[in-house]
Amino acid sequence: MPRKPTASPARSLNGFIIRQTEFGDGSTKPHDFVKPLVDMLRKSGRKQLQQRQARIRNLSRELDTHFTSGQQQSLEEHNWQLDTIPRVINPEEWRHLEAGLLQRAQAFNLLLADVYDKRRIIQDGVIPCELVFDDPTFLLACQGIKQPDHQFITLGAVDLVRSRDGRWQVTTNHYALPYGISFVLQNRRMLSQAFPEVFEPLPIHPVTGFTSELAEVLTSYATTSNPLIVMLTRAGLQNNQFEETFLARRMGVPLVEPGDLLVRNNKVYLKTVGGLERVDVIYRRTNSRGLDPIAFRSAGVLGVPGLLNCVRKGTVKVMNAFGAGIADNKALLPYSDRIIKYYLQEKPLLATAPTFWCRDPDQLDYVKTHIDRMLLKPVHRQRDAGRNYTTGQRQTYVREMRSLLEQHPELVVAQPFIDASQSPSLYKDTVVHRPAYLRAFCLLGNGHDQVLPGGLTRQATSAKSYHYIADLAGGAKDTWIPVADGKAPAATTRKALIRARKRVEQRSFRATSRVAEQLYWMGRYVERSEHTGRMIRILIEFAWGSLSERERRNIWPLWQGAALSTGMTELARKTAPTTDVLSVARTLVLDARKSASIISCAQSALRNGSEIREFITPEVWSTLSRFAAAMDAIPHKSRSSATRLQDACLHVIDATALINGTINRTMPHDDGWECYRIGILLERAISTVNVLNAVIPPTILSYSDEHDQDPDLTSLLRMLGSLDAYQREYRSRTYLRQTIDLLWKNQEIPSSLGFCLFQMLPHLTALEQGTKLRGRRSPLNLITKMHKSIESLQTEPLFPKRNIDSDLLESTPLKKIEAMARKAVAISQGYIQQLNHAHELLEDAFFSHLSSTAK
Amino acid sequence: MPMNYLKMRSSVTSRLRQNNEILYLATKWSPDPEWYRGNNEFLSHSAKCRPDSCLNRASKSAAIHRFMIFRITHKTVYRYKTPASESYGELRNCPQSNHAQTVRKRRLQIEPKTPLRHYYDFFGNYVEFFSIPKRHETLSVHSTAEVETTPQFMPDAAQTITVAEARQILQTRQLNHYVYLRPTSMVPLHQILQPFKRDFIKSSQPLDQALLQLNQWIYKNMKYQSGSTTVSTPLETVIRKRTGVCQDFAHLMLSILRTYGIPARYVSGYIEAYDPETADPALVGATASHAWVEVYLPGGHWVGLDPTNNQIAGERHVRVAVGRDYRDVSPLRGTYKGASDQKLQVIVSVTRKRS
Repeated sequence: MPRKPTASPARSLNGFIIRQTEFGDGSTKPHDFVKPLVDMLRKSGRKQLQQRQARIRNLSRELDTHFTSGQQQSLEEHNWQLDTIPRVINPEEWRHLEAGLLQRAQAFNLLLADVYDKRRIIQDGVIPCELVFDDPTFLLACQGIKQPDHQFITLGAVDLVRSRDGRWQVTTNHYALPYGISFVLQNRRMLSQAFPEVFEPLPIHPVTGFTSELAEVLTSYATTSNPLIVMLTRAGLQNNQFEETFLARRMGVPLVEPGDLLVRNNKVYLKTVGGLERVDVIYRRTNSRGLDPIAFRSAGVLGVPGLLNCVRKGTVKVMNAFGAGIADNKALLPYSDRIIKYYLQEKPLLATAPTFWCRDPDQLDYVKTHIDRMLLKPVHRQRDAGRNYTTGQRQTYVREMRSLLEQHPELVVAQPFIDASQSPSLYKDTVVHRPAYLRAFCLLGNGHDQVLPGGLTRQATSAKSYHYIADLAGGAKDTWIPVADGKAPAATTRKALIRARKRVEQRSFRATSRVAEQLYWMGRYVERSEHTGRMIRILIEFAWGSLSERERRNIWPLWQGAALSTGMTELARKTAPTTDVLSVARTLVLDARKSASIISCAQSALRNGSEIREFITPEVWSTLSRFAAAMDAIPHKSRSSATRLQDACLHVIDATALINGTINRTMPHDDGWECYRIGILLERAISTVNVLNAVIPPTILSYSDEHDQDPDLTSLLRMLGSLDAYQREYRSRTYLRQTIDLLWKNQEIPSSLGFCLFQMLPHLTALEQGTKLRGRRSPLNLITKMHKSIESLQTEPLFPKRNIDSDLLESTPLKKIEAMARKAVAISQGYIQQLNHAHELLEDAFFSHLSSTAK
Repeated sequence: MPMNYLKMRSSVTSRLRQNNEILYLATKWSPDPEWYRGNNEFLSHSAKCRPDSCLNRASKSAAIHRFMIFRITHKTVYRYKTPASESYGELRNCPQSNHAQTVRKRRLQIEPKTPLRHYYDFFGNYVEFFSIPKRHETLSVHSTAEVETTPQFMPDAAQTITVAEARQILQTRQLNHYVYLRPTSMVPLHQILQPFKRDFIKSSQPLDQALLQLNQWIYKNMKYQSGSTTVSTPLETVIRKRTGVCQDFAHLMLSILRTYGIPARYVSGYIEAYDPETADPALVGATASHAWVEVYLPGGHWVGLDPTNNQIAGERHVRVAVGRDYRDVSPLRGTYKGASDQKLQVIVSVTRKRS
């Protein structure tokens, strides 16, 4: 809730005294343009207004409207607060304002075009060259880049303050990355749902069409008939996640991260499971520097290598242009009028707030002597990008800015406080008056520059607050522009509708490869944890110390299998049993340094999930993070007992079952889910085949006299969760051939290879739909082939028979047995190779698109 | 598996092949049409290199007819332990045609074969770029060029004015050289020079004298030691140890010049290490790939100074790219997807040619 107002005496609602606000001139009589609204509010009872206010709060929660504040490390979500009383701007004032906003945006657009071309404005001495060259958002790499129609700015915004005498002044430019448009639309939506009556007395301009206008402008830059437009944002946690998702959804374009894009032959493609889709227009919503590691030295390793060169060659259009941030340099503000005059040869229509750039010693002196009446701001927007200070942080902000002023005065500008005009606002059950600040949006391009009729109004927390920084704590107001002649809003919008427009076609999109790949690996990691947990649990049941040498040797192949399927190849190669199996088990469960250990798998699965937070349900996220946290909580002691390890394994089995169940139950069964399932099934198939690969040779050899090792097949079946199935199927003790039949060929036992392959088929069919994957490049083909060959495999000639009662061993000489073992191993190895090849095919076909030909 | 994006770092270390030839050219060379046959795989140009038309040809009548021709081979091979994919690279290794040199032939070969595109960057460098999406185990970039060079001298403009006057003239038109006055991450200014406790440039000195003295001072007081630093060694360490290679000396000289308000830029290029004509001692820094400095003089002249060899960059220097520091001119800047194990091999040779 807003802080309790201090200076402004609470006004009773019934009286609704206007005072000197934007609604009136001090008497009880409101201005004409707002009279119908005031009358309506006066008539409404106190109770009704309070009720509406509560309804707005609930709606805001339901719609999940929130903004984030603070630094990256501690993103804190706040619910959006909307005032019940809208801000109404005098239509006369607005007409003037609108013209001024357009003029300003056009001039700054020309400034950007000039700055990346010949820099005439510096040559002619209008602005000093350090203003451009010392700005970190000025990108040398963008020199000479041509934007279509010289449009560097598409959607831009400025912050405005209206002083008490009715003068509007610009305090900040936001031409590069304007935030807040989603809140404008959302405010209107919430107010009209919660308080529809308030709209009745006063016809106002609608705002909802603005996002489709933006989509249209973006579409107009495309050269193809059915263009692909994407909204490009940063990877990871977002300051403006709500805004971005909302905007992308409203515009009907996919929201992508750098990892979703790929440059090939100087064209930009979106990687989807359906193949590569050529990108025509990128709507940029994140800082330029992070987007191309080749072009920008400080980009780090993220980004799309080569993106800037595609822009240079004109194969993709980026809006707002790379490097547009320089228009938002606050040290440019004092030069605003000169810039407008220089480029447009017109008289500036809209004033800019007085701004002192502290680089100049005289201005610095002045600022220091008047520091209590000044608002300090950083020159470059990076320092406060997306940062919204809440009440508690304001003192920190002031402190930080003052120390910056001491150390680097050239990075600070100062603006004298402006006595902002106040707007009535509902606080609990009274009307209070608060200074209000406006962010106005304009849209350039497509031959029709326009200003959003309205904007984002924020109000200060108290009547005497001069801190017109992005202070969201005071809440927002819907902003109304009454239609000038009182008639229904028609003139401008109709005209816009009649204009021949390029239709923004709705395209349906398949999951992007990044999302699909993360889900695929999440599936593999979850399955790997489960599989390892299951194996270890059975294996450490044997009290190793009390086993005889022979018993140990019979169980050792199972350990080898477990080692093989978890990538511990060294251990798998050991033919003699290790004495300290418990430490091996500890490593496999708890050693975070081993990439195949359960704890590493849990962490990897969690990392996969965090990369695609917005694509998995909160429930899945919570089960995943609980699993990882539980694994982390187990102390990795060098002497963890077998019981403790067993408990851990049991927990792993439960937790993974929970994850799988939650995913199946709460996630849409779309492309991403198919990939998750494929990950699970492929991992399981690989594990089963690997375990068998270690167990088969010693078992076959045990049929000869020379080898007295007789691997424990019953435990093997338990390890793979299939003993029950075996007993149902054969009702006998365990024999090798039957065991192999069950684990290779059976299509109903979840652990068997045949089952995994068979289950993969529908998922692969769904994924390959609509793609051009044929022949050897198709994973579906490979799996189908494997499945068929497994079905038709005759196991009888492969394995020696043993009849317990009559000793038939003599009929199978040792040489033959050895040959059998070799053959069985060859088949088993073949399966492993094919499964690994299937993984490569999947990667190529759906994730990395290495071998696919671009459409 | 999680994949790593790793930056390739191009190295300046290289081995010189010593098979020089002595020759002066009598007739103008006419281009061999083979070199100009452009297709997607090979890109050749010499006329395309943008001449710096604003610069005046240094005129010393005695040497005007003398020029040298060098044949330059620069081959870079990356071998990856596991196949790399999605390689993307930007090359800055094409020599430029300007008042001091003319590129007569150029040929660039990339394996695996891939289409090449190019653009001119902010500093006027000719930049070529390529992408290799498919899996590959090696990446080889092979550039050959034939460049004609002429001797260079300190322009008259520098001889008649003092440092203070030069500074004043430069102050009025900063647009052309402002970026060459500012510090960069590799070339910090002011504070970094404190350990020297020295006033390098006096305002009352004639400009040419000040520049040549500085050039000589670095030559005499800094120890050249091949392999003593890497591309990422900070200037601070170089200053503390008073030891480095040509790249470090260039950075040091830039730092001093910019601190004293004289705009200067980093030059990457090649140098003929041994003069085959005389039994001259080897020019130091001469692992064929070389780096030196260019100073901006009033009137728009750039003059090249080579502190590693205590001379004006002349006919045995072949200029490739310019920038604020090494990072603006790195010969190959790229990324690939794959494991981080890679082996790099660079072969550079500069051979004087007889026509």
